[in-house]
Amino acid sequence: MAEQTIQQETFWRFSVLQRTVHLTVMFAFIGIGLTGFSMAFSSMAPARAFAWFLGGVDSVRYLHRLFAVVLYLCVVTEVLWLIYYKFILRGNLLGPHSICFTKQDLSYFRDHIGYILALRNAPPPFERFAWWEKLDYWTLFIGMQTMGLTGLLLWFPEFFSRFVPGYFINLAQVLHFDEAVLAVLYKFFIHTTVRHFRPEVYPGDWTIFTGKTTKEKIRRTHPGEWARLNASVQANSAGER
Amino acid sequence: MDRFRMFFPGLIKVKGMTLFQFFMVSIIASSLFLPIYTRPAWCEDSSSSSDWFIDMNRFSKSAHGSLKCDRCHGEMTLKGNVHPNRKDPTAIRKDSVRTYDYKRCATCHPESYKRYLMGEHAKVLAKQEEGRLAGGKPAPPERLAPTCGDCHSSHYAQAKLSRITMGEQMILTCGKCHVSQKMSYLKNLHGQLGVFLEKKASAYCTDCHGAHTCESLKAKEKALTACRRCHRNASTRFADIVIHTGSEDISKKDPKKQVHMALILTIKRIGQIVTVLVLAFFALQTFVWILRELHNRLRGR
Repeated sequence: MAEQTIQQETFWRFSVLQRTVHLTVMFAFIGIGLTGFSMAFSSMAPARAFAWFLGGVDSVRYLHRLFAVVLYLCVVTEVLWLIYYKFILRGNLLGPHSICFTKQDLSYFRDHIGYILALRNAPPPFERFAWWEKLDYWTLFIGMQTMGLTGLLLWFPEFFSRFVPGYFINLAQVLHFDEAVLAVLYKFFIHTTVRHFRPEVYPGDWTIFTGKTTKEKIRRTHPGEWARLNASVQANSAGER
Repeated sequence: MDRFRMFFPGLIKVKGMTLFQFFMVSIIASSLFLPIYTRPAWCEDSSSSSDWFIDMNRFSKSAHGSLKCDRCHGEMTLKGNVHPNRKDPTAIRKDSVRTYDYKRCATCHPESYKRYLMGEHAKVLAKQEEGRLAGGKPAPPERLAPTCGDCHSSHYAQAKLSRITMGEQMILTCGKCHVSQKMSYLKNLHGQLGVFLEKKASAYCTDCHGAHTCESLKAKEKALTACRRCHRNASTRFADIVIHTGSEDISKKDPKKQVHMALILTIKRIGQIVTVLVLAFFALQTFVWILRELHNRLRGR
C-alpha cells in the first residue's frame, strides 16, 4: 500500500522563513488594526482610552506607520522569495506545490462548496495548498498593495496631490477605511475560524507556528499532495533499486 | 462564568460583589482615573452668558473678572435713547445680546473688532439690517448673523485656555449655527485629531476660517492660503481635498466639487456593499462548512 512506503510520522510543512513571516505579519497586523481603529473610531471613548494608553495620538500614528512598514517589508520578502523560487530553485509557479492560483483551483472550489453543501461525499483532493489557504495568502498580498497605496496617499498628501486631484485623498481615506474593516474582520474572524475552530482542526492548528505536520493530517487535508509525495518516493526507491 | 470566577476568588468574596458589580465598579473607577479621555469632547456648559443674572463665582474667574460692571454697562446712548431706559417697561424683556452696543468691546479689543467688521458675519448682519430698514420682513432672531455676544461669553469666558479646550469650545460655539459643518468637521481627520485625540497641531475652526473674519473658503486661492499655514508644500490641487463632506456643506454653485463629492459617495457606497457581501459570503460559507464537519463527526467519519 502507498502509505507504507513512508516511514516518518512528522513532516516539515513550513520553512523557518515562512514561519517568521507569518508570525511577523500576525503581530504587525494586530498592531496596525488596533492603532488604525483607535484613530478611526476616536469619537468613541474606548478608542480614545486605548490611544491614551499607547501614549497619545502621536505615538499611535507613529506605531501605525511603523507596523505598515514592517508589513510591507514582509511583502517584499515574499516577492524576493518568489523570485528565488522561480529562478534559483527553478520551481514551477503553476505547479501543484505552488501557492499561486491555477485553473484546477476553480474546480476544487466548486467541488468543495459541493462538499460543504453535502452534494458530494468527500472534499476534493487538495494539493499542497487548498483554495482557502491560497485565498488568505493572496488577499493579504494584494490587500497590502492597495492599503499601502491609499495609506501612502494619506501619509504624504502634500506630495501626492501634485500628481493626483485633491479629492483622491478623500477617496483614499474612504477606501483605506473600508478595506481595513474588510481585512480585519476577515482575518480576525473568518481566517481564525477556518484555521482553528473548524471541527476538523479544533482546538487549533499549530502547523504555521511549529512548521510540523503529521502524516494523518496531510492525508486528510491534502490528499493530492500525499499521493504526489508517495509517487515521488516510489519513483525514487524504484530508481535506487 | 464559574471558570472566570476561579481567577478572582479572593477579590469577589472579600468585596461581596457579583462579577457584574465588579465589572461595573471597575468601569466606573477607570472612568474616574481617566477623566479626560472618557468624557465627551464637548461637555462644557453652554448656557447663555447674557442672562440678566450673573453668577459672580464664575464671573470672577473669567477673563473680565477684574473689570467693574460700569466699565461695560455705563450709561449708553443708542439712537438718542438712553440705555437702560427706565421709562420703557419692555426694556427688560429685550434680548440683551441684540440690544447691547458692542462698539464698546472695541475700546479694549480694537483689532478683533476691526476684523469682525471685515468678516462675513458682519456683512450678513449689515445686509439683514438693510433689509429690515428697507421694510422687508425682519429675520427671525435665531437666523440673525452673530455679533460679539453670540459667540463670546462676556461674563464667563476664561482667558488663557489651552488650545485644545479652545478648539472644543469652537465646536460648540460655531456648531450652534453651522450644525452640518460641525458634524462633517468631526468626521474629518482634523476634527478627529484635534477634538477627539487632542493633537494640538491639528486645525480647529478658526485656524482655517480666521478668528474674527470668519471667511468662507469656497474660493480656491483663499482655501490654499489657509492650507499653506500648516501644509507648507501644498500645491493648488491640495486645496481640492474636500474637508466638509456633508451633503449640505457643498455649495450648489460649485458643480465641480459636487461631482467630486458624488464620486466619493458612490465609491464609499460601493466599498461598503463589497465589504458586506464578501464578509457575508465567507461567514455563511464557514458556518455551513462547520455544520458539515460536525455532521461528519456525529456520523463517526
